[in-house]
Amino acid sequence: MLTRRGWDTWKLILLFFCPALFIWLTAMVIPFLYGIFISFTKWDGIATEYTLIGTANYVKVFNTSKFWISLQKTGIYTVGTVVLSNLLGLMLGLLLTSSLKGRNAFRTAIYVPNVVGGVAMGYIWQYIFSYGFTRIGQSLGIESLSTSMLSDPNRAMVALVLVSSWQLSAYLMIIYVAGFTNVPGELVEAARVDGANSWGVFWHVRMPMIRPSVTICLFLAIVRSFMVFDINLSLTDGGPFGSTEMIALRIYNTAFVSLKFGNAQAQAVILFLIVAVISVLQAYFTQRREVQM
Amino acid sequence: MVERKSVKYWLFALALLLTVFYLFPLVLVGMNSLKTTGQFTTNPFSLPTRLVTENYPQAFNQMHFLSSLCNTLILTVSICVFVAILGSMAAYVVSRVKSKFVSFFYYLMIASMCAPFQAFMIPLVKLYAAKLGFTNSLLPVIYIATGLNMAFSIFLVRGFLNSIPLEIDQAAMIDGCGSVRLFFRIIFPMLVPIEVTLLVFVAMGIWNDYLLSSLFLQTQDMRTLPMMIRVFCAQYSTDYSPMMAGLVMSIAPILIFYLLCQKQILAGVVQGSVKG
Repeated sequence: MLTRRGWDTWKLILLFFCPALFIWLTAMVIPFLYGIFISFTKWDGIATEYTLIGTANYVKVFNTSKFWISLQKTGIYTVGTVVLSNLLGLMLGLLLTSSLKGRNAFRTAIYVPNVVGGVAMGYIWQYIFSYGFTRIGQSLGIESLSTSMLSDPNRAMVALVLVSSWQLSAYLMIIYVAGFTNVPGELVEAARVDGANSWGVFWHVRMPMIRPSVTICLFLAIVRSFMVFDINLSLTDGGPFGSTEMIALRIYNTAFVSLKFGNAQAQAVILFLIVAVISVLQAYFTQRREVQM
Repeated sequence: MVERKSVKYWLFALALLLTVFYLFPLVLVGMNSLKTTGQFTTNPFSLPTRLVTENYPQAFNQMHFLSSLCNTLILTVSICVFVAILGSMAAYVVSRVKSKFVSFFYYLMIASMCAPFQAFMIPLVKLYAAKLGFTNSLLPVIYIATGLNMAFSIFLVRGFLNSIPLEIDQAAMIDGCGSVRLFFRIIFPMLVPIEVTLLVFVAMGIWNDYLLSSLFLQTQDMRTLPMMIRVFCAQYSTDYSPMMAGLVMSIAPILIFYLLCQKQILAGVVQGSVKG
């Protein structure tokens, strides 16, 4: 076999690999390590001098009830969004892989909410909640709809989950469609011949076959929801009264509104650790599946 | 597979209903951009009685549409070019060279793909804006976004490269072709399908990015479309119809792009789903 040796190999690495490596190191790795350092300092974003204050930021974060509330809200939001978006996505995936006229056109149309960015989408829904739904509520005389959902803490959270699931489910639909498409037709046919009804085919044939897609979609939804920012910013901006301030938005506000950069970075490091644990779990579950197959 | 006709009609009706559910917010925005603010606030669901077109020029000016469109375009195109070229060069090395140095960093890059942006946000501002003085410039955004997308690019292209037989490289090398020429003349042209998938995926992310751009771009002439939407919607909070027109104008370019490349975009979603 003809291979490159010694100096040639290193020349190739230096010329082809190192530019990408350098950009990645300077844009991700160094900032990340520097971020860990910042989390041990007190810095207001203006002063050029840092004061090293050890673990004081972490102690403070852990003792701030607002941090725990925000984390808890993020958890509730994540559970709601993950369940709702996956149920909707699964249903869409199943529907749009059945023998349906124009199913490609339907897929294309339903995916559109993901083409529009989170910021724009959040504003559009804000108008719908403030002027559209209230209008419907008033004309139909439904009490709970006649005031904006966004002005009430609990209902604002529901609104955030609804809009996020609405957008995310269209994304997950595409992955589920790919999953269902890969289920061999003979398998479904064989189950039908053996007398399985539609539910039986779905639950005992299709679902086990698309398990890898389910794993991907579940974790994708978990990570996305945990890091939600754009929609949070434009739909509720954390309000009313900070009741929908998810952790990513809280980090942003602590840094760029309250100018407590060290404190914000300590929260960011904690968020990183949480996401890292989720990712390790994902790798574990994905790998275990592969062994079974 | 034989299914009863009535079931088919019901499924079609359900699909139609769901399409309405996923599209009505955009239709509503389009409709209300052609009404006056008064008509909008009294009933957002009514059809425009007469077409009001004044909203568009007003939004066009208030949003500084041309300059924000230009900035967004510059960002998207230049990041895509860097991510595609540098990423596939590196992927070529990962795929073809056996080296502990390369594979160590490759696996670290893969791991870095799932890190939340918030973990880098503050140090990036500190390093690039405060220390290196890159404020109000597209350059740090281009550089950082390239770095953030690099791992994904290498990962995706490497998978594709592994399916290209090594014999092609060897044949070219026997004919005396150097590595650089081999890559750019023979390998790179073969990568087009995966590059298209990668680029539409990256392009959509950059086009819609708000957070990273907002960290480095402050003055009005440097703002991008997603930033403009935010400023615009927060500022003119009583003038709804021009706002709707502004939303339509900022969504239209990416929507047209999507309709042109929908096949590649939907393929990219499946392949990109590993990234999280």
